[in-house]
Amino acid sequence: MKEKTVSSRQSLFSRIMNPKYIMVYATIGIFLIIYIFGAIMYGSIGFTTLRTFVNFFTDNAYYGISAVGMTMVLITGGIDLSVASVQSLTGMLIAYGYTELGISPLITIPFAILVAVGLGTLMGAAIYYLNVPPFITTLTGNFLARGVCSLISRKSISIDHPLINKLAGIKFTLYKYADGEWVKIKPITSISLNVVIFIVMIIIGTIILQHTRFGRNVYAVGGNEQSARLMGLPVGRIKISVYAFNGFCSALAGIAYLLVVKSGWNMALQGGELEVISCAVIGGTLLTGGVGFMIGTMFGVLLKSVIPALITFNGHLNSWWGKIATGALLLLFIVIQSAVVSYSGKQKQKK
Amino acid sequence: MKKTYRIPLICGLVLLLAGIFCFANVCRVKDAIYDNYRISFSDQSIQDIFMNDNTEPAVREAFDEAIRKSARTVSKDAAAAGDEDASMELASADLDAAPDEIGSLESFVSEDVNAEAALADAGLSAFDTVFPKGFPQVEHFRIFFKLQPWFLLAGLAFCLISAFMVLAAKHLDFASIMRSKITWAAIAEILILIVCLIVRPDFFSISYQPSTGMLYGSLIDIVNRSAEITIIAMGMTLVIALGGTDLSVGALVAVAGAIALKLLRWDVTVYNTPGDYSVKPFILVILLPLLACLLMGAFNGVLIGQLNLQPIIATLILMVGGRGIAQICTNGKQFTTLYSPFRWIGQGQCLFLPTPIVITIVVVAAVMIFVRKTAFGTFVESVGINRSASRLSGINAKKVILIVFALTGFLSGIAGLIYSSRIMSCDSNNAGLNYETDAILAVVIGGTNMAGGKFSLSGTIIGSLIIRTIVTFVYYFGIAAEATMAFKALIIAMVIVLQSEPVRNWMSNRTRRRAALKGGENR
Repeated sequence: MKEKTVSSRQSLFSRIMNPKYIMVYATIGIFLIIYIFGAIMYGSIGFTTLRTFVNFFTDNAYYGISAVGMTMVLITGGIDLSVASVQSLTGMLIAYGYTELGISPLITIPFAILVAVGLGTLMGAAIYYLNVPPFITTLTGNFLARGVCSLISRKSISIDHPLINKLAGIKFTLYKYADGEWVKIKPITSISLNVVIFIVMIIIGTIILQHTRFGRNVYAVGGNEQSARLMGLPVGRIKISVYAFNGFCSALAGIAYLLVVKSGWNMALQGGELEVISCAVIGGTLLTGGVGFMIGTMFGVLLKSVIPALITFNGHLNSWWGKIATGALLLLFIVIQSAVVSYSGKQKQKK
Repeated sequence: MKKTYRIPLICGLVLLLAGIFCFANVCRVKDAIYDNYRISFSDQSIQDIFMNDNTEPAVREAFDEAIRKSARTVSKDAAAAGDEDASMELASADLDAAPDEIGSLESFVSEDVNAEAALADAGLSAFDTVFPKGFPQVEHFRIFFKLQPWFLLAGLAFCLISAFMVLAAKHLDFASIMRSKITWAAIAEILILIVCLIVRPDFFSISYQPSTGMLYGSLIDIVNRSAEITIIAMGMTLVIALGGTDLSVGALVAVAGAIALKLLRWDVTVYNTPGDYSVKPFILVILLPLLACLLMGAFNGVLIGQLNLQPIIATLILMVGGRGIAQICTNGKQFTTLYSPFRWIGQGQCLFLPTPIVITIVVVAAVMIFVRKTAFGTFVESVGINRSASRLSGINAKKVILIVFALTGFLSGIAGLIYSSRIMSCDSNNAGLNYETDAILAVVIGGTNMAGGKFSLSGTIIGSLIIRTIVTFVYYFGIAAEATMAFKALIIAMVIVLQSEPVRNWMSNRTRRRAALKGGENR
């Protein structure tokens, strides 16, 4: 209740214009610029339809789900390089469990989540208690997950289970209200389960970060671990639970990926961890910790989908231009970021 | 006085190693012969012939000759394929020699093997029995076999001398040795090698192949294959000492290969036809990729030094974009070449060693001299520990960062040339894949702190060797190649736990406490 009285004192405008959101606005702004550019160039061939827009979510939903946990890890000042291989391991466990061993996904899905959370907890504990840099710890976790995945099988194993098929088949078709009745939007636009999970996870992440004590602790640890410890915050518990939560997100993302490809493969999503990290960073999360918002991460994911969409709509550019464009975009972002950071630093010095 | 014990220690270790080499080489030749007996036994066709009737001297002669012949083939390479070939050859030779001769050779052979094993145990006298005269592989090692005990004795003696010197030294700080991360990395490497030696006694063997003029062996192979990572990790050490990381090295490896192959196949537009090179002079093919990588490294340096960006993100740009650039260079195609000077970089021989090893030694020496014999290393450490403090003491931090990242780019370029020369083609997607993580791991295992500050180039070399030893271990012992990652993870986890601060503090406290206890007793 106390928190509400504090925030209600500030006017809505000043709350929105808080300089800490500036990176998020930059992300949203650049997304809009690119989107409008696409709309002008390729609006006639369907870039502006709702379906294209929903596809931005669908394309990278599994990266987005994983990016929720990653954002939290980055806010604590850590990094997690194991997410992609944990996703691959999750998919492999479920697919191998059913196709080769005949175990129902109802058992393997909780088991896979348990494995991922356990690995996350283990890495968090190693980072906190053994004081090993997160980069190295999670890199080891990455090797471990990928290695175990390869030990299980090195072939791509497909899964054909009613539950998985049903989950993959769930689609919420969008309707619009026109002429007194609900009609399907043309072209038919539907939201798959992955997108729902993605958006729900973003909302959950926002609530955890902005409206719970745990979320504030996360920011405090990332801002200055020493002060957080001196303030009496349970730094170890916070760090370990953040990594465990990230493991959970990775497992969820792995399930989402399984729903897309309906198979488990040991080399799936290679290099995906950096995709996830760059989503969060484009969304304004600082790698040094203490700064970051879920909504920014969401737009980071959208930006990652817009560029390939533009290349697809163009139809003449080769796929490697996507890589270069992503690189250029990253460059643009971090230059803006550093400009903002140095600007706000100067403002502070003036005060 | 402080470091004098090192000289006898190093001499002792070298001599011990020499002793192990001899042991391993002898084991290898012996194994090859025994393997052939075993193979010939398991071969069904041979058993069919020999199981039926009485022995005749002619059969025995033919059999012996066949075994010798195949042993020669096998001892060239202990690979499984070689073994199979040999057994095939053996079988055919035998059938040719004695198509209708039949005998119960089973007992004869087993007796023979037992006798030889007994003789081998007896020592030097057995050597001549085990290895027939004129056996080409053996002639090289006869002298080694005779010297082996002396090597071992001398090695032990030198180690003992150094141990005495260590114990006698007044200012011995055993705790600080235990605290050093390099000590633990070296111990880990030695442990892995010992495990290899136990599982395969011939793991350390090195043989000379006159046809290529090169030395062969698992150890040579480890050093050879670790060349790229070692070279990159040299630069990465400096980058990490600055408190940063460079993720773009893998992409730069791809770029260097792509540019080199594009230059080699300048006018070729046809996909995948091997042919000669077309850019004269050849030195351009070497220099231009290196220059490009140097510039891209400098780009990283500018972003990080001048614009003050976070290194992980700044290098992420080229990591993502670099492979795109590599694909643009080759227009998304894969070129192959057969040009022999280019092949020499990755597959040729230089001073009896594979060229990559020589290149690595030159690069490591150059970097070490540049860093340790000039003030540059101190600059790097000072910028890594406290950038503003070093700026105030007159160090141009931006310049240091620029040089370090440009150097890393340049070294990645060298690694890229070696890599693309090994495969004689370019592969924009897979060249240098995961090199960045391997290089960072090598640096961290070598004892350089990720937070920046003090660094150790020799530790990095050990780290790189550890990584490659694990991989070789996995390949060599027939464990599925896919398990490499899991093995790597386990061993790296072990090293990291050993090196982690609490464990090292605990160990050093323990030794210190013990020393204090002892001191108390003496007094």
